[in-house]
Amino acid sequence: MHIEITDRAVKQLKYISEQEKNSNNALRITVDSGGCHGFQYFYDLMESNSFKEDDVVFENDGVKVVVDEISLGMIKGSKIDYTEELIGSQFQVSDNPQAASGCGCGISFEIKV
Amino acid sequence: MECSARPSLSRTPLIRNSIYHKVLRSVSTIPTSEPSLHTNEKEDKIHQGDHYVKIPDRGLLELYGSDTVKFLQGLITNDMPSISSGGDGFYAAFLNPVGRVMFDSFIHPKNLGTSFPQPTFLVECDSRIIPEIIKHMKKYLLRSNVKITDVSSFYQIWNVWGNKINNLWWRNQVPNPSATKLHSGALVLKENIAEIGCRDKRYPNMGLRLVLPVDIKPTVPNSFTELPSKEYIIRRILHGVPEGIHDFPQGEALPLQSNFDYMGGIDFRKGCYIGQELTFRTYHTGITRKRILPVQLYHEGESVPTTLELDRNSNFPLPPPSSNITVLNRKGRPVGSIGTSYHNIALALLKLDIIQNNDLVVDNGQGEKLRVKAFIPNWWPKVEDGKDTEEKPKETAVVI
Repeated sequence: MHIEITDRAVKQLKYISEQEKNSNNALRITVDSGGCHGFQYFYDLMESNSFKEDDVVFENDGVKVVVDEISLGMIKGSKIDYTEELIGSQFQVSDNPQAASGCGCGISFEIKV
Repeated sequence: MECSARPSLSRTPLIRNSIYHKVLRSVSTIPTSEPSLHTNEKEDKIHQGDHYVKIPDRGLLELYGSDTVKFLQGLITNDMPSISSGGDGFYAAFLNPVGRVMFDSFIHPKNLGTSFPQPTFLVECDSRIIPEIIKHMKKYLLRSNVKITDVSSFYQIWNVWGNKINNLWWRNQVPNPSATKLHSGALVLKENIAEIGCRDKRYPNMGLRLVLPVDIKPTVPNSFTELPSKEYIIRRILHGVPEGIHDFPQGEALPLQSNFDYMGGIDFRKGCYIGQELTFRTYHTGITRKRILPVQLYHEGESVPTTLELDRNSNFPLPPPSSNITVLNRKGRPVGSIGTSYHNIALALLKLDIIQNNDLVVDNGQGEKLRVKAFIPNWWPKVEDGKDTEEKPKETAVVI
């Protein structure tokens, strides 16, 4: 049950903290049903002191990523990355071992049964 | 790959000073040079007049909870917001992520009277695969506030048809019928023969679909008579209306091949749902080469049928569902497969460019090769001659 946070994601989260002058930021990643492939990633910024009971926190270089247990089951082993592409710059869950296929924009995915 | 419900702009050639009034739509490859055989517009002798039948093999799942509309919206091909505050139900398909049909269904709001809007919906589907449907739904449930209950044993689905059905569905009930004029602001009550149900719009004259408590019959005028359930199946085949597991083997057919577009089961403007990507792309850029059609089965040596003629005395062994249809003496892949069959008629998924072929055969499961003659339902949208597959968007010059 591990999640890797890439250097690019660390850099971007630090940048956000700097901009907002808030060193307590954490990135929450949630998986919910939706999108054209059935499941969808959601990204939220949260205060790192408002964790819930079933939250698991991953850290890299002081940057925190928070995933709840249900979502973790579907993204464990993935990388949390920050991509800058023509379609838009965004945090992204990549190399998800549980995902069978995904849609073009990388937000929706199908789960392996 | 497009993910959102917007056509990709890069495909639209930009022409200065012109506006496209027409967007490319999927076309079906029906050969238009030769006349194809159409089904009869008239009802079968037994089906003429006003009738009602119990619909066989249908079950209901009740979905209740604050996330129900959002949850179903992500799973089906039709647009939940249009029925989210109650009223008539609609037809829709559940697709898998690669865009193939898992189940056909009707989604009925359970109109709970004054306590509505409470998001409670009945999902009507084939009763023989209820466990699979629950499993499919539960996979996507996660933390959604939706409770799923099998309520099949509490309800019976009915089909009512005939000329008088318009007076049964939301008729106005004038408080004093002898009054010539109502005073302004008078409330006119509207009455309905069922709280739950809809007009079945898959085929224009299909009639009403009612969801009634299991021990209650539809309250219809005396002109309506009840027919046995098998007449529902026969009528469905005669008009080319597929339904249930035999016509939609799970995860095989595409929604456009299965006529969900013709039958009003797809909203092409809604946002993401499972399987949308392929459905939407096919609609805008693709060609539908196969569709479900009514066929007549006959024996070798008999003359080729020229009209779809039901023979109620016919009781020869019928091909099992999903039997392959092939062209006689031609090797290669099958050109279609059989769905629901009854007496001497059946529904079949067939390649549209071979439907005029008189050498189509299917094995009846006992070694005999039955002949297959296909007919095009008369209610299908007509493709005009000459503007078939190569239809170009029309331009209108606008001086700016």
